[in-house]
Amino acid sequence: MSLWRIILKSLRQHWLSSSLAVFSIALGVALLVSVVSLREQAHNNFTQVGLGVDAVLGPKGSPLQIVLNAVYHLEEMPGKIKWTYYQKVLQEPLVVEGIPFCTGHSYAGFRVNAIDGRFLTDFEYLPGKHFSFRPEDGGEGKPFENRDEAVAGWEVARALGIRLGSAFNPVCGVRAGDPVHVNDRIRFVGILGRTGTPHDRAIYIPMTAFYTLEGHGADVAGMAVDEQHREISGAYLKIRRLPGGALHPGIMDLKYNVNQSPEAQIVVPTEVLPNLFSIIGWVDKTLLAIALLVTLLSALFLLVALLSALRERRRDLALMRSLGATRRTVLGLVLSESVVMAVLGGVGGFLLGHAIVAVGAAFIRVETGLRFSEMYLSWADVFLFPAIVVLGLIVGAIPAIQAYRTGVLKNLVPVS
Amino acid sequence: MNCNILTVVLACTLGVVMAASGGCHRTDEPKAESKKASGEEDKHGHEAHHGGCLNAIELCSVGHAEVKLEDGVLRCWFVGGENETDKSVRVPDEEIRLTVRLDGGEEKPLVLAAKPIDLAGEKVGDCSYFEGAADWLKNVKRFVATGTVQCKGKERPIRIEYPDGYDPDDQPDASAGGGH
Repeated sequence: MSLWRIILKSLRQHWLSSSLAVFSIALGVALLVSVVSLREQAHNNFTQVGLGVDAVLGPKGSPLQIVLNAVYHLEEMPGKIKWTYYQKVLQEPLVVEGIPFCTGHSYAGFRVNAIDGRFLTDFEYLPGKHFSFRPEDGGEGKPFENRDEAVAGWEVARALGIRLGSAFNPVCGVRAGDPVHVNDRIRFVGILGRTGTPHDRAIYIPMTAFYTLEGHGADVAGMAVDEQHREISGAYLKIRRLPGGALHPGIMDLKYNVNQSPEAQIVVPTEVLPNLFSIIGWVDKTLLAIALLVTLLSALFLLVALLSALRERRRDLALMRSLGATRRTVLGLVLSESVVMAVLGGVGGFLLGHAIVAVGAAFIRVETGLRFSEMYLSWADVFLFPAIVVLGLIVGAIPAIQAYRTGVLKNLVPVS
Repeated sequence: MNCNILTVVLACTLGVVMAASGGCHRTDEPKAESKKASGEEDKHGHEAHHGGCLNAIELCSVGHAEVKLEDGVLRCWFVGGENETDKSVRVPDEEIRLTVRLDGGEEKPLVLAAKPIDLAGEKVGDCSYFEGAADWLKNVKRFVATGTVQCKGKERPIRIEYPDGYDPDDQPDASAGGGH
């Protein structure tokens, strides 16, 4: 009988304790895999991607709030900045491009942002990538040109079933119960192709539409033509880059200079977002610790299962020894059994973990528009199987040594 | 026998977990100490936002002059005290006259002129940024400059130690417990 057949037979003989041990390992591994994967993807989304925005010119207030509002279409902008100040910043040699916007409106739970039309045509939402209206990219229609026209992000169009030509009334605010601009009917002329970014979760209207919405009053309506009194929520800034692609270091001076002004501030998303992780870092550390503890407990469970199986098999092992099996064969048998159970648990945990990530990624994509993938391989995946084999060997060591020491004569003594 | 083994394994596991959690606390402190000692961070953890060196104006709590020397141009930003080195401090001086003592002991005058930061709405007489240029500065690697500046309502002496920065708390005769 081969080693593998003996192992399979033993597993079958103690199927309940074996499957419970495998299941507990699978649970621990699944938790570890899913926590690490979601944590790494969240970190990548918030710190590395940058979403095409080198810097945000925004009002005074929380930098984190500004980034969440401007880039992720969450939260609310803490105020407004003057158009004339934005123009002054644009004159800085380091600033390559600016895209002004006004936030604060919504429709059916999605943000309605007034934005410069160049956002839809020239803006790179990721390096080298522009918004597309082509059907093969999931888009249709064209950018807005007139006051009463709008463009929907891919996720908004999908969620609300928006078709070209359908119309909506924007809500003046982002909270439930905020007043609706009942006399302002805005028609969708374009749907953006999927970008896999939070930009999929917003509706875009022209800046003039924002100022001239009914109910905003004469002062705001006047801002559509009067640049001296015009206000905006902020602007995306593209900063000059060095030949290697890195941001020009002069951005630090520019940021300092603007931040001394009582009117505005420059926020660099890739600087601010790591703060978010320092605030909520304890959550994922706690989850990671729980996952590690569960894995540790499942290893202990495996140890208990192996020890109890060994207790029942002392006679079998003694018989094997009497038939010519060496001490090393017995040692290898128990170690292999431990590794097989650990690997089975690892495979199950890997699959279960990625299933959890798939569900979580789909949920996060819908809720935030962030790019999460169930196929993402984290460091936990890379080290999973070598670690599982080592775990199996460590856990199996104690029962294997016991089996190694099993006395032939003592255990072959008739039991009755 | 099995019970004994289990007890040992559980005890070891608990030991590892406790050592790991305890270890975190122990390793943090030496890290901070070694960072401070190696000079990776500025004195007292202040950050020089322009990449220059920070020089306390009388005391760290009053303010700092952040100084940077590039191509014979001495750039000087007056910034806040303590950890507020990212906030400008405007001074009414139109120029700041410094006496620069070079490494060899030679002394030279240098005038820093107010260069208002337009984006911050500054103007001469209400300005936080100054510049001074001289040919002899181009090859200078180290100097000590002294002068005065109107800061926070009174004329105060400034001492610029380039490139290390100046902190009165670090001076040999500084009283203990500098308030940081």
